[in-house]
Amino acid sequence: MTREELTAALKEIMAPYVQDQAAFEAAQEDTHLMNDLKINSQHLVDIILDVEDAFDIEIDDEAAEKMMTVGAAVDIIQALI
Amino acid sequence: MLGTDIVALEQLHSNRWTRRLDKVCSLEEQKWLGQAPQPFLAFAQLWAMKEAAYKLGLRLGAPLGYYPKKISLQARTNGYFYCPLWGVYVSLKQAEGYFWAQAAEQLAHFSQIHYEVYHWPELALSPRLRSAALREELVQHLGPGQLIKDKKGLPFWKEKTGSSLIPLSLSYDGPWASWARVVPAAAYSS
Repeated sequence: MTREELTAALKEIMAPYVQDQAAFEAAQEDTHLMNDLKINSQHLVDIILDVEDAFDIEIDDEAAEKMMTVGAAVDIIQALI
Repeated sequence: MLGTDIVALEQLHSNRWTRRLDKVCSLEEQKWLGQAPQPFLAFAQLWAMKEAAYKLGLRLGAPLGYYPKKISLQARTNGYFYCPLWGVYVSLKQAEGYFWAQAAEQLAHFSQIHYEVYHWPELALSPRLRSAALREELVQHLGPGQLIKDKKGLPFWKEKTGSSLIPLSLSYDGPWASWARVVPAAAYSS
């Protein structure tokens, strides 16, 4: 899977939880999940579980804490698949 | 200042709650939950309280982030809980279908918290419509104004007349929606 494909798959997972649609449509690698996309802490857990299910991986606490930008999340997924 | 959270029991139970527990609770908490008579309900309580404490923590300067396992709670003999990470107190209420948690800096502040909880099952899958419905309720209760959020996403009610900003705590889960504010002490003496 290319980085672009991973990013697209991640954005599809995040879409239901995003509260700032304009920021989401313009999202880049450095877009912050909480600051920019306004995803709340409860929904971050949903995203982590959805990512684990979609890619058949397990995201540990340290990785979860680092999954704060789109790019960081893609890095973590890429390293685990 | 305050932080609140509402946890819908039916939605949580049907949405991977055991895996969620692993993501949210420390090993010590998981051990305690494993010994609880009703682990699911104990987890729902703990999660609601962690979220309420986190929301107040944000108001007190905590960074946005994902660190639920670091938000521990200690039961106190007076029925409240204490969160040492930010030195705040948390109280919990159970109603049919949900748990409601509220966090305050001092125990005395709990009596000043006014909150409303709404049950809108028809909006459970429409977050934007649910938010819009809650804004209408805020106008009814707080008067004409606008819901604004700061850089952390913390909500305030900006009154149309005057320049005051009222800190709010909003919470949604499934069919439940709520808002809360601290009512100024002066309001009680008038």
